[in-house]
Amino acid sequence: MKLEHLLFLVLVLLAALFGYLSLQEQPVHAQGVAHPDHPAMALGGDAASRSLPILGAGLAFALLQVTFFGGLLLLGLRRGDHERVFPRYLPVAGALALLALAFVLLFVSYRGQAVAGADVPTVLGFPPATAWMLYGVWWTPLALVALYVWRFDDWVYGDWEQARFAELVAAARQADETAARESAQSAEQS
Amino acid sequence: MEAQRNTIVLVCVGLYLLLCVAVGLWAMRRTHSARDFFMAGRDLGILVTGLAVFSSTLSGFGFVGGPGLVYRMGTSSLWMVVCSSMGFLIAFHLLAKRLRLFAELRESISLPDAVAARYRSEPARFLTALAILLGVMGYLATQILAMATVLQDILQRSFGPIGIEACVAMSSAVLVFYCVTGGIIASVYTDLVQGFVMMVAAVLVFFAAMSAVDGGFSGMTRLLLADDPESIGPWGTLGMVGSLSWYFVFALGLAGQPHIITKMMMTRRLSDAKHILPVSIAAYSVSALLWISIGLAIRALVIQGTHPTLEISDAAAPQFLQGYAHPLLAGVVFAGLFAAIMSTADSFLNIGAAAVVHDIPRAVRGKSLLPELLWARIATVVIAALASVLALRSGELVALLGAFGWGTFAAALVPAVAIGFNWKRAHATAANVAIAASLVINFGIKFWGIALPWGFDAGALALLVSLTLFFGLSFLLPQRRLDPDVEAVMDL
Repeated sequence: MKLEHLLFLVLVLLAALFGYLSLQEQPVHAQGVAHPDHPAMALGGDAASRSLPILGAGLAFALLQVTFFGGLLLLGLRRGDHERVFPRYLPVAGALALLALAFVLLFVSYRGQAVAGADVPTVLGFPPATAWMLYGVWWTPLALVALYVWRFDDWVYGDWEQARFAELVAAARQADETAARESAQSAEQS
Repeated sequence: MEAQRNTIVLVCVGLYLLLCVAVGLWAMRRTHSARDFFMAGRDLGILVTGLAVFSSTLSGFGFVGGPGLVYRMGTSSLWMVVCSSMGFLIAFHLLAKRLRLFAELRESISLPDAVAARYRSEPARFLTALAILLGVMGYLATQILAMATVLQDILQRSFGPIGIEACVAMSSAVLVFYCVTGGIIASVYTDLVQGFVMMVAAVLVFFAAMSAVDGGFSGMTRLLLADDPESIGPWGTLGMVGSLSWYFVFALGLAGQPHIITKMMMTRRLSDAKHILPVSIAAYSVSALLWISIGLAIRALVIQGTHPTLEISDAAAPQFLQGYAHPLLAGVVFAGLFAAIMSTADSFLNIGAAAVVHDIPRAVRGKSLLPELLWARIATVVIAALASVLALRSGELVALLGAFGWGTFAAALVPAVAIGFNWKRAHATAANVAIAASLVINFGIKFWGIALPWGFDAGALALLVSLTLFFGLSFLLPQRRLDPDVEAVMDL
């Protein structure tokens, strides 16, 4: 399967997931309700009734996004349509697996939290699921940043590409000059 | 010192605005051509570009609307923050190389220039410029409204009631001055100053917020858990699907924000991208502390009863600074707020002017409005005036207006630009249909006030549809031959 086909397939699955969610009945507080004491503030209400019935769909939504984003990163690393990029797949896929793991742990923590309500411990200042979001989902992509910096010359733009691009620019400028000269000559003749 | 709080704040903000005017005058001497005005002569270094990219990303939307959204919805809007690392990664992987190479090879001075070269299509240039212009209006209005909201809060404490209209006029005037005089050179160099101010301000506010509530973040969490556990859970009050749809549109959408990605066309050397990426992410992450800390602190303080309830959530940041920060810190942070707002707004004015003066005329009649530099300055003034009117008439919260602008850009430009520049099979017709469909969906949902199920973001839906159409049509339509130099660049 080509990378573009995989990306398209993920998009179709995301669209199907949106369709599935649209057919599910929403509780009144699905998107929050007004706070009784503070009018500019909203309340989430009972987590178990609004989130647990669609927890699986939510996890699928998150993991499909991770897959799509990973595919885009590889699309950006590819040179030409036919180059074999397998050596780049493994480290990028490994780094993406960390992000996927952070999402899975977030959902697992949230399932416990939704039942426990206010009676949850705090981890680094936040409830466990929120901590996975802030410290896991936010920071695990840093492994990909490290790969980008470390492998830039090999994977993105190295000496060969620089030399090839310099040739392309020189050819383009020469063509521009020739066109300008011919245009000036024809103007003189007319 | 407490008695002079407002004087100190006014002096800090005044000094900062004077600094912006000075940078505008300095940059005017370095702006000799349309290429200087729109592309900064393609001569920006690592630090300037890195901070310009981040400070354009974290705007008034983040510094004013962000804390407001946390006050209103709890942690839901933090998905717009935590997606930033992935967002910058996608944008740099897909565009840092391709856009820079296209800009140099084809001497492009705007994003629609590069799009027209990629697809060999004037309709694609026109639609890209139109999407940019429409998105600019919404997003620029957000910035002006945010700036006016903060200015009104400051001025009212010293001079009594003052209308939002006067604050909008004052905010726009400074903004227009340094953009008209110095173009993108003024914009990116003020971004450098603004970026540093934002980072310092965010770190100081983070500690102020920690000390405002007993027990720091753990104390805030306990208060919020007792009031409503969902508000401090991972999805906030908006819920799981709405929050994850924000993750989708904000992570992926960064690669479609023209005010951010055009900075990638301005770098001195392409190889600088490997350093610009970590600089941008680090600076953004530090500055986002303000979004998180003020929002959670003010919500906890109000629930605790220490602070009176807010009439509108956009007042969260100004009220926290006036009530809980040292006067000098408040002055620096208010200057930081203006920095955040202006650093994004100036980029919008610049790309909006390019769309009006350069891109749309070239698509329609084959050449730009001449003299380009003069018309660019006139267009800057006109766009700022129109956006000011929109800001006054929208009646929206800063963050929600901002989310609409972000979604508009994301859905229109991610397929045609971010994907299309990396996939040779991508078809011009598919790009045009994707842009048009995204605009229809985004504006249709907004205009008719359609509520999507489970709080799914309208921009996310428009992005999903435009991407699916783009891929589907490109697979269906016969592949078109590319210009040889374009094909060669896409092979690099």
